[in-house]
Amino acid sequence: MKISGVAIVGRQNEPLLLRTSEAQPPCEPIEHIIYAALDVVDDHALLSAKKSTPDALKFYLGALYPLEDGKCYGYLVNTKIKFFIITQSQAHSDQDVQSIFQQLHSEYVRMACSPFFKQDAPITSAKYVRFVDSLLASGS
Amino acid sequence: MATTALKTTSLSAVEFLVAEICRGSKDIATTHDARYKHVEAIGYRTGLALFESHSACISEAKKNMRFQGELDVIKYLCKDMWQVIFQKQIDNLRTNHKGVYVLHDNQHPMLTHLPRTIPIDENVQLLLAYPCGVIKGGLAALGITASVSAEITALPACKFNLDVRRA
Repeated sequence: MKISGVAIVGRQNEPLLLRTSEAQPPCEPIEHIIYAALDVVDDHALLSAKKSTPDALKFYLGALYPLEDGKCYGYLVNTKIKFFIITQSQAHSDQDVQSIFQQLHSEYVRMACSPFFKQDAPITSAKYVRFVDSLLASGS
Repeated sequence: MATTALKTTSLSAVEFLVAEICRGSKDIATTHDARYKHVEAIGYRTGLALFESHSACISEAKKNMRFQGELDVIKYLCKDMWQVIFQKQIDNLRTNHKGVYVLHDNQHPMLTHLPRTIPIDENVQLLLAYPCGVIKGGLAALGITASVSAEITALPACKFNLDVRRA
């Protein structure tokens, strides 16, 4: 799977981390893609408050919408942090995407438990940024 | 994929640590209010990190699932989080369904070792600043702003009043 961009958005929909692949950037600026994707995430969040089916409450939101040359996937966790992955090609198994999201999340939690971590501030942890960059590089 | 395993420590270690934090706060702040805020802030930070790491894998069935509404979050706090922090559950939860919750704890670990005859003054109150901070920080991590206060009814029972401010 080729990942062209990864984004993390905070509680108040403020961007915490936006990274794009240098070799294969997404077709549009990542800010535009995430701006549109947040609407879809809000929709999911509203829906899950009404419906109680287990599927509606999953962290993994699936493909949010297709792009010209890929797809945008979303992941919304309990702490209202949103994770996004932008891929290059169209067809991916949900399981693969989900496992990448889980890695992103568990690394985020590890970072959040650091005593120097600042809530709701842009991510500056070099370790985490390195981890995200390794995801971007591994696919291309 | 391995999930972040929760590290554990003995309850007595937590009790001693909180007692020491309360005692040490005397050197940092002079007024009772400032001391209370100091201890509460430490609890807040604990709650923030604890809920962030623990709310992803509550149980196998609820793994990677979101909470459904506010009451679900409070129930999770009473059942699962209290178990993690104090090795017991909240004994009674009352709510008016309008954002006020009262959590009754009949045997609060911070209070069980106090003699029953001790007068309930601000030093005793200070012991509950830490759990109050944990609740506040935990709820903040899950996106709920609440004001939390503790009340000692009869040692070692106490109750926590949660007021969730609606936007």
